[in-house]
Amino acid sequence: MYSIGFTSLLVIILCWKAYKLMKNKRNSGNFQEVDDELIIMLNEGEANG
Amino acid sequence: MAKQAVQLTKKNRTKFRFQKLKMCKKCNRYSVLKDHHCPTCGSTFVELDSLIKSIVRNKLFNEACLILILVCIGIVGAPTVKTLYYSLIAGLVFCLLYVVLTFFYFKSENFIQLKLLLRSDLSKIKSGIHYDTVLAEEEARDNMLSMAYEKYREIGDFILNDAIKLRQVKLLNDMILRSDMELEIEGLVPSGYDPDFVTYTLEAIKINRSLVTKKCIGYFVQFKEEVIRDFGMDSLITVAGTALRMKLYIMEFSEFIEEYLDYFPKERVLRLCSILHANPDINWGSLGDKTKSLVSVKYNYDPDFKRFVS
Repeated sequence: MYSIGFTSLLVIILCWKAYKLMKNKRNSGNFQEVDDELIIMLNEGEANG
Repeated sequence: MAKQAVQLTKKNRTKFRFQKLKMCKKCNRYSVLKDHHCPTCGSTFVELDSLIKSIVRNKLFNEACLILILVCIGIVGAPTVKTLYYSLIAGLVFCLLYVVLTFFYFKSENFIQLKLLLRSDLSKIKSGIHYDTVLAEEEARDNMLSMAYEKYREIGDFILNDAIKLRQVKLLNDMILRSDMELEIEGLVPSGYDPDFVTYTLEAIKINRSLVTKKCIGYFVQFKEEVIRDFGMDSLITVAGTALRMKLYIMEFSEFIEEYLDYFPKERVLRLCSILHANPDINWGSLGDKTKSLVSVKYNYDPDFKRFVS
């Protein structure tokens, strides 16, 4: 009983970790997008001149 | 003020602009300059790539510690020797799978961490760049033109406003420009008319005609009247002449070229004729007709134009 409980706990942690990693992988775009986003954020509210 | 002869170093080039960001861990300040050491505390800057990797590594290390503690508790709490061995094997298999999993997704974790860091530290990055601007201003005031320009050049990759562009232009106008310098025009085109920019562009064209791009020609077309008023027609003839560099520019700015065609030197007319002659399938419109009539009137007996005169 103890072994089953312990193994189940480890499997749950592993599944949760895999889910989180896969979710992050799905949400990750490309570095060019991050680069463009940074430039937009830095120049927000910047008046020309 | 007499122009200064200076030596400019090559621009710091990276695949992505964020890779130029670095951080002083002691001052907790970002910088985009080429310096390797923080000007305030003297400690070495940490590049963003290394910073992200160390954050992800620390995160993984903390998780690994928690997992080991959990596995240890599981082993210690085992009621029998058999379950102790079972827990030990299960713990080891779990640790192995955990390491494989995180290793497999390490790149996307780095990416997510980078995104989070750039968002959370945006105000710090902004204030860091502002501090870099202050340093550049101080150097410009102290007449250290090349150093100030190089700083503004790096800042200009991140801050795209006219103020930064025009500060670079002003510094460039105080330098003696040479062909071995890494000059640019495209990135310095301001949104409004600026005589300093026009002065710099005309000077840079003399050194390297290939610096003139579509954006730059478009600027001269847009502010044609102001340029004629302040710099005379010769400047526009020069720019229109540089537009003959590429077939695409001729097609895009055919009206502009046509306007100044009569004033082109022979070499430029020859260049235009060769492009028109090499591309007979393209409809050049009135530019083609005007070039033909110019050649027949002005260069009809010139041997260089013999192949264009039918």
